[in-house]
Amino acid sequence: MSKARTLADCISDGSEFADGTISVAEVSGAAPLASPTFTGNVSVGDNVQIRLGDDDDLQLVHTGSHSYIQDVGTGNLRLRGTDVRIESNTGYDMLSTVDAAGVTLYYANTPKLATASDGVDITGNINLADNGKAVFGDSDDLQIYHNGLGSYITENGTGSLFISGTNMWLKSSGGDTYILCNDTTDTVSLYQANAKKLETSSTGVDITGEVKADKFTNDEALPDIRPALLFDFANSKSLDPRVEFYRETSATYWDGKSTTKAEENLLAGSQTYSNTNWNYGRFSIAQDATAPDGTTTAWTFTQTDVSSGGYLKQTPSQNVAAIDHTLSFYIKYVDWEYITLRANNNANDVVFNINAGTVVDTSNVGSAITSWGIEDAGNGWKRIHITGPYVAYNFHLYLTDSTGSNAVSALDSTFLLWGAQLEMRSNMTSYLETTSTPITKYQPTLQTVTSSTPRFDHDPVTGESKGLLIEEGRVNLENNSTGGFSYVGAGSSITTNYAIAPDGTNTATYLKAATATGTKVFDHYGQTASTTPHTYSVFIKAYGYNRVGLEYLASGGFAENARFNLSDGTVYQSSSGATGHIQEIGNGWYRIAVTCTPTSTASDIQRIFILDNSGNSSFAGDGFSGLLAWGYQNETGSFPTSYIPTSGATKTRSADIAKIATANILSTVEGTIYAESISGPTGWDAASQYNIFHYGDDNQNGYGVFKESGSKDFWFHLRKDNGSIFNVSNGTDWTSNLTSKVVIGFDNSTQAYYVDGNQIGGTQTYNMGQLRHANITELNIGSSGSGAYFNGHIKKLSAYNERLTNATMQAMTE
Amino acid sequence: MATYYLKATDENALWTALEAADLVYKIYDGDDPLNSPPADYDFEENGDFTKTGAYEWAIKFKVSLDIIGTMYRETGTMLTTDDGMEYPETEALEGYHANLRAILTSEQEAALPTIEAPATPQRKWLGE
Repeated sequence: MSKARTLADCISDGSEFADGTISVAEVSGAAPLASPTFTGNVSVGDNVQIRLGDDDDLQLVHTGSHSYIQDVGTGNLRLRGTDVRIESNTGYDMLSTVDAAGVTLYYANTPKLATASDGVDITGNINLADNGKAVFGDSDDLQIYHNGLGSYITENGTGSLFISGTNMWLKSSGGDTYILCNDTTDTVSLYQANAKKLETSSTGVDITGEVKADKFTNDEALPDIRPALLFDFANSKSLDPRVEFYRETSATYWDGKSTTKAEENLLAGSQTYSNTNWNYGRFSIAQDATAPDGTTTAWTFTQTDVSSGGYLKQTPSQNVAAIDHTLSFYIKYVDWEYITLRANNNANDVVFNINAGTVVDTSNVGSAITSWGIEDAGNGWKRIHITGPYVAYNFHLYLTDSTGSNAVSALDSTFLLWGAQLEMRSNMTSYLETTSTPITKYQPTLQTVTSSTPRFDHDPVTGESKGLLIEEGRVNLENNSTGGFSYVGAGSSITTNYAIAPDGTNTATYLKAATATGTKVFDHYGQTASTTPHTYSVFIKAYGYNRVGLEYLASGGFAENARFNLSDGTVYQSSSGATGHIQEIGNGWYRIAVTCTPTSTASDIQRIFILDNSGNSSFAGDGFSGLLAWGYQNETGSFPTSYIPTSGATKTRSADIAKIATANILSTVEGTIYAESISGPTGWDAASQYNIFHYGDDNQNGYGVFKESGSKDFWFHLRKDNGSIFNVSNGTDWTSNLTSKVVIGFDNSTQAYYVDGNQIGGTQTYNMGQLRHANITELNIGSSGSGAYFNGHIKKLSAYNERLTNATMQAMTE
Repeated sequence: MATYYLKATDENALWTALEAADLVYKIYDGDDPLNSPPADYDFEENGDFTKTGAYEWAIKFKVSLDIIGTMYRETGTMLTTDDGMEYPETEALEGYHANLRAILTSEQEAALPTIEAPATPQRKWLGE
């Protein structure tokens, strides 16, 4: 090693140290030199500082344990650079300061906190220990923290605490909803056990369930006393045990919740055999033939193999199921007769002759196929079908011989194929086309209750609870409400038990229009008309055609009709003496009706006539399209009432009677009775007297609220000794399907009546001392006590043993 | 409850029998002067006043009455409407008919013009 040189040596001749290093010892005592340049490391020992500044202001030192950069003098310690970073020994970023981009803190080389032009961006959690607060505002106005016992959002500064969002949910830690603020519906809802109990609305609040309060105070003059009777039929859907309800017969209604599986097709692309859902072999196919519905959507299947019959299959999602399925195809003979449907992974089959329309071999059905058939579908088309517990399991359609063997020579043989359908049930129903996915439809189910069971009726489509249904007795004069017709026009046809009917059974009838130009009529006759209003109604559904007419005929040339558009649910035409009615009941079904007054008492005819989609009554059918129909009802009255099923005889549904013996419950000296109701269907307003309630005896004495026969007004009366003390009416139409609130209030000297916020007839001043209070014994709900049934829905009825003020009664009915 | 098939000679006879059986009652129109005694009516001399004015029949609670009236049967002849549609000719049957469902005493039954239950009733109660 050469002799060590001093720093002065090195600097004076400009050369490097021989070993590239310089020691402190070597430079100790050397005179300070300007701008020395080192070309090697500078080593400084432990606890020896590099001091900068006149007063050693900045010191760099390693103590043997740690390294320090320390400013001890004047001014700040400043690090400057366009991109200044603190990194780990492995080069991971720990802190970076980048000019014009801010400062970033890292964890494991991942940014966690970064300054930004509008504040800081944090990636990941912010963990605050107990009592550590997130504090906002110049005056710590908002604080969010957990104190070890509870969590708090505290606003204690200037202004209010606002929480906003499109849909805001307040939920438990377990996910249960307590409050929902819904910006879409502008509502706030309160929940109990995830069930909505209160929802705000444009008119107030909608409460589900019982409301209890120790005291009720209001600022709109509503009653602040508890009623002696409170029947909230629409919400409770139950009858207070104090109400005596009687109806001799069963009856039908909508319960707002029961549905039935209707049309179903578990196959995808039910009439598109070229798509990937289908698998076929030894056939060529082309969509070039006229289908049963007249469209060019049927497929020509042509055999392409000389020695073995072609096949077609689809693997449905329910490929194996030990429950009944029904498989069907629309098929038409061209020049090959025998087609076999195989199921249960090809183990079982049924052979059809599609030319003759017969089943030719069932010897191999096993237990997998339990029923089968071939039906005429018009224009040479047949519908072949098999049913059984393993029909859905790897099924095939094969071109075969009469024994079911596909070892046949049938090159270039053809047949036509259209709609395929797989249904999970024990019978074939109406065809439903599918495209990319299977479809299962559901429809509301008409319910039947036994005698003396009240009906809490609903809108079948919306599910709205309408309240207690009160109807007069009616007779269905059609003695077979689901059966065939007495007469079917030439060329037209009916197929019974073809589709799922509104009562959930497979009893709807397919009415197919004749192909020959002319009218398409389907008649019931033989009943005896009378010269009083009659209403003929039927449940109907478009099945190719969406327009239909109903007509009432009688001898002497009497004919009245109404026409209906099933695509928009309207009555679009009525003859001068007819009124049409239509009600949507779900899944495409409507109940339509025509009301008229026959001029003859001789035999009459009730007729359904199919119209084409332009409304023409005389046209040429396509051989497939028609209507689905069910539930024929002919009744005496100016509007249809609930459906009365018949079979073999005309049938009578007796009246709904609801009343309460009021002794020891209601005062006869003073009181207030309130009711909310929905009037009956179209035609209701043209008919007889209907009572919302009557408080009196069974001789029509007492107080009543009713629509008078021949009038469309709201009437109120007070009667005694079968004579009127007074009658008042509002002179305003009480129209059909109208929701109304009415109230009467009485005491010993005054009586007042309100309808929908308006007083009727002014305050009466009859001296009640003249009325025999002993005659007021019962409150009849929806009747006069001796008839005059409301024929509508009573949503709510309440009674107070005080005559409420006029202002209160006005507010109650607004 | 039992079903009774009633056949009276006419409508009035039917209602009269039902009233005698205490199943229906009259509600007189109090606004009809014939149903109110004149102001000078002498009860001592003439006894109770008899109402002769308008009234309507009311059916007592838990009595179900289905008035059928005149019944018809097909003659076997087919008639034709003006537009050429056929329908069966019918003829009226004797009597005025009704179906009744109620719980009756033997005395009430005796007051009614009941007939044997027909083998195939033209009309039934819903649920039967």
